[in-house]
Amino acid sequence: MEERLETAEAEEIYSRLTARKALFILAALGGLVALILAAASLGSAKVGMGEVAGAIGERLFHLDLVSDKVETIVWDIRLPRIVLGMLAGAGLAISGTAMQGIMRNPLVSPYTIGIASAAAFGASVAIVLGAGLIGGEKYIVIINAFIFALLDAALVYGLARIRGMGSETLILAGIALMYLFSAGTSVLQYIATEEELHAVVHWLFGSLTGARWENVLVVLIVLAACLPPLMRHSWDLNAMLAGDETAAALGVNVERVRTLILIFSTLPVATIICFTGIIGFVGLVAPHITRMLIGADHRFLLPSSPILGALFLLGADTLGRTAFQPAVIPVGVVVSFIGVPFFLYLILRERREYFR
Amino acid sequence: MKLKVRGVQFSYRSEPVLKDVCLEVGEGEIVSLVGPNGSGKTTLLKCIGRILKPTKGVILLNGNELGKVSSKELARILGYVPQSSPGSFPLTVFETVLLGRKPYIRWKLSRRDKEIVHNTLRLMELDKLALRMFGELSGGERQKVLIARALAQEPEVLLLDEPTSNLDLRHQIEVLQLIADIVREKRLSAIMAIHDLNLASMFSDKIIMLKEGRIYATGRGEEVLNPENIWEVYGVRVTISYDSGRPHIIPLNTKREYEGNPAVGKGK
Amino acid sequence: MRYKGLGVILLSAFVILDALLLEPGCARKASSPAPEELITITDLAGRRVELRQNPQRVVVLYSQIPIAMRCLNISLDRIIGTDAFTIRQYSRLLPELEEKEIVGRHFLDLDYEKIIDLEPELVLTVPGALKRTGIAEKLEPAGIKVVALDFKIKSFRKSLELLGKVFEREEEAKEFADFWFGKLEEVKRRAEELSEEQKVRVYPEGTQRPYVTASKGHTLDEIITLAGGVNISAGLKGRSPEVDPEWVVERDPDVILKYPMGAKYQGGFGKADVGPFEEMRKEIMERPGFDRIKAVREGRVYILSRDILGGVFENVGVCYVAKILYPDLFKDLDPEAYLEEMVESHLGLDFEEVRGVFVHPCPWIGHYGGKARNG
Repeated sequence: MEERLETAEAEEIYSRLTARKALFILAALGGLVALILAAASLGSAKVGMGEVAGAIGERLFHLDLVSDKVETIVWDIRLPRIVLGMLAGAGLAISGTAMQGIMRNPLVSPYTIGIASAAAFGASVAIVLGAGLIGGEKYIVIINAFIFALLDAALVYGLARIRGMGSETLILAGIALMYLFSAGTSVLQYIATEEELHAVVHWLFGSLTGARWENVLVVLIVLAACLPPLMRHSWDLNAMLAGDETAAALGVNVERVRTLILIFSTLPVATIICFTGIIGFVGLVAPHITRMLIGADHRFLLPSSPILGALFLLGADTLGRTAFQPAVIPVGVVVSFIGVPFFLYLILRERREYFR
Repeated sequence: MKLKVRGVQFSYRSEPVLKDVCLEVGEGEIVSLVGPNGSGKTTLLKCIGRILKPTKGVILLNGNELGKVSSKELARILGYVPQSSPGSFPLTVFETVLLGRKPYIRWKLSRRDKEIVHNTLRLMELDKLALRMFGELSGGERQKVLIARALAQEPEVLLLDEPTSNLDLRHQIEVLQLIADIVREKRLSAIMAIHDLNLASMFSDKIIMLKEGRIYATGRGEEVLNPENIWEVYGVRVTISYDSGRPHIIPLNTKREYEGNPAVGKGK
Repeated sequence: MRYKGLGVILLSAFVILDALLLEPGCARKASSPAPEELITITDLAGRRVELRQNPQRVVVLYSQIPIAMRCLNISLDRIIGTDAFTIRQYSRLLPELEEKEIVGRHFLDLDYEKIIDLEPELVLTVPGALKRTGIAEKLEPAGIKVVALDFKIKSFRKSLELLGKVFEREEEAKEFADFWFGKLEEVKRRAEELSEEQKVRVYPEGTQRPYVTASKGHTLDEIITLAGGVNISAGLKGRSPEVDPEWVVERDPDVILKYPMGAKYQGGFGKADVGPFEEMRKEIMERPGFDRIKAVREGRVYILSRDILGGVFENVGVCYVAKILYPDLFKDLDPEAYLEEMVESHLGLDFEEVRGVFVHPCPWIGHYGGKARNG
């Protein structure tokens, strides 16, 4: 009798804990669906929800509901952009979450290890020197950016490995490489002609314009491939929060887990920024807010922060392309504007358990 | 005997930190590791817990070599309580202790897991705090949570690294008493690195005194804690009082106290 | 005896006054300008400048300036220094510029000490430079005159006249200005006869980046309007706003014009390779959703070379664009012939030597030139 009471009590406490989290995830998903619908019906072409539905019907069921023009606008321009926005937001968010976990630092972003600077450097090399490591004219910038991003991750790994893959080492190595590549980019910017400079600076701004299904597909595949390995390590990440020693004592191979997470969180980010340029803040803000709302248990954190990331990025892009239509504010710019007040809020709020 | 440590050696870079250490701990026994800073207490603890890999030596539990056991299996046997926990992430007390179940969980939590966490919290008198944030607790409460986490692993051996260093007097006694009760009740073995000699004397069955990586003395409190040993290892002159029925160390810090005191032995 | 003291005072006063009256700059020049050679002009930044007519030592800081000078038959030997960008821009037309001293990367990034060191009499630049770099304040104290010329169409005649006045080529200036604006007038006249429905709707892009269009204030917009076209982006805020692809598809322009500013390959004088231009064209036509646009379906997507947009060749650009937009209306207009005339009569060069691809595709042209130096 007593035993059953105790079990019931235990269950009750635990479900109280999880109910709130589950509720949050559902609400976030609901919000995302609503946002998708809104984004689909907004745009500088006068194409509303009805026509969007018609266009979808036309493509999928071979009905003839809307003009060719509308069908093209919806399927070739608007939808790929929406999907890319969501995937990019989700990818950046989940990478940020995983990196914050292995570095045990909630202020870390996917760019802390320097892959953004490295990608920018790769792009600049392609633009200014016209030289790429491989690839034809059209893809040279993208491929170069990707290669340099991976190179940076490899270098960080190598440097950290020498010192046992500690979290501080990772951060330090990342910062060092970030400065190195930034310096390289600055040099290239300096020797570039005015026009090349333009192109380089533009690449640095995150933008979803020109999203196409081919790009979306690549991002989707990479993301889908990297998500399961990350989520499988939820418990390991939880353990690592308690300190490397405790984690080891709980049976976690700390070095191996760090390496794997590094790989599977770098790949999505490198892929995304090659197509979109550098979109900041999402990879830092989405995990941070999610953690504030549902706690640091990665079993819930890893699935939810991408939803928030998708919401954030899609919302920002939709705002950027409708606020001053038909002019488009690149999403990287919009996100910065929203991100800055968020940080100020964090500083002013000063939650003690964060900054001990 | 339950846990045997034989000939453990550990070097940091080329500096030898532990040299040929042997010890034994039985069921229901609490062993304290004492010694000055840098004598290797924490290192020894981590070697036993396989957080550090010893360069030589063997650790046996009930006759089985622990070196051959997988780290997951090991986590079901050895519960390690660190000195403190980095705290920049929001976790409730329940979730923190839940982490101790990791060696048993694949993905989903079983009913048993939740029960064990709950019971452990009860045992440590933390059940009222189950849904509070770990970071909001006091030092003493946090230490208890860390112990609870180790206990949730259902270990046979508890390894504790300075469990009382950040606590006030009342919490020091409270925590150590809890540990003693649990160890005896559940027939665990506990090895505790502790720097307070008097607390060690109060709560241990056996004391091991380390000096520069080697075992200087092993035995019961009365055997190990005497002014000669303490002078040799710590370089401090003391006198021992037995008023409480256990050795109680009183340091002497002036020459006059030393010279004028007939109880002090003829040291150097 | 009393007057000795007074004499000393007077003498000292005289010496002091004399020293004050002597200008510090005078010591540097071999001779000070004779009063009758000095003229006063108002430059295109609205500044009154007094300078010696027909200066022999000139530094030019904007690529259009030496071209204009050559068109007015002013010898380029007078140029003692220029910037790297200017040299690069028209290296095919004016190879002698490569011998000149380099005083900086471009008109906003200069080595002022070097300029002063060269001891020019006159520095020619554009109003934008004056505002953004304060070049006048830096050079005038050293006795160097700074004059701004403006090459926008509305200021072009005045700039030519000013150049003519400074270098004593006033007749040549008038002649050239009449010739230059004459062609423009021809196009404008015919374009005025078009009704609103007949006007061709154009979507321009002014940089290498996709979806960055050109609105009012941009050279492309000016050219399109002069050629009788309608720029669908004219009403947008900012000179080069980035637009949503949806909007372009919806507006369904008849013609797409692109000036790939920032691209490595710009075509133009001496460059006959169409490959890069064709790739840019393909990039536009293959953009998501663009296959539905009228301009793409009819193949009316054109890439324009920098060399015919803006400055001294802008009127040629207008002719090209007019012929692209209204091939029937301007059937007898031959932009290439006009370019040839400009190059041979006014620049004194052999057109065959400097032929290249200025517009791609150019359906009325046989070939782009065989003697091009780089392919």
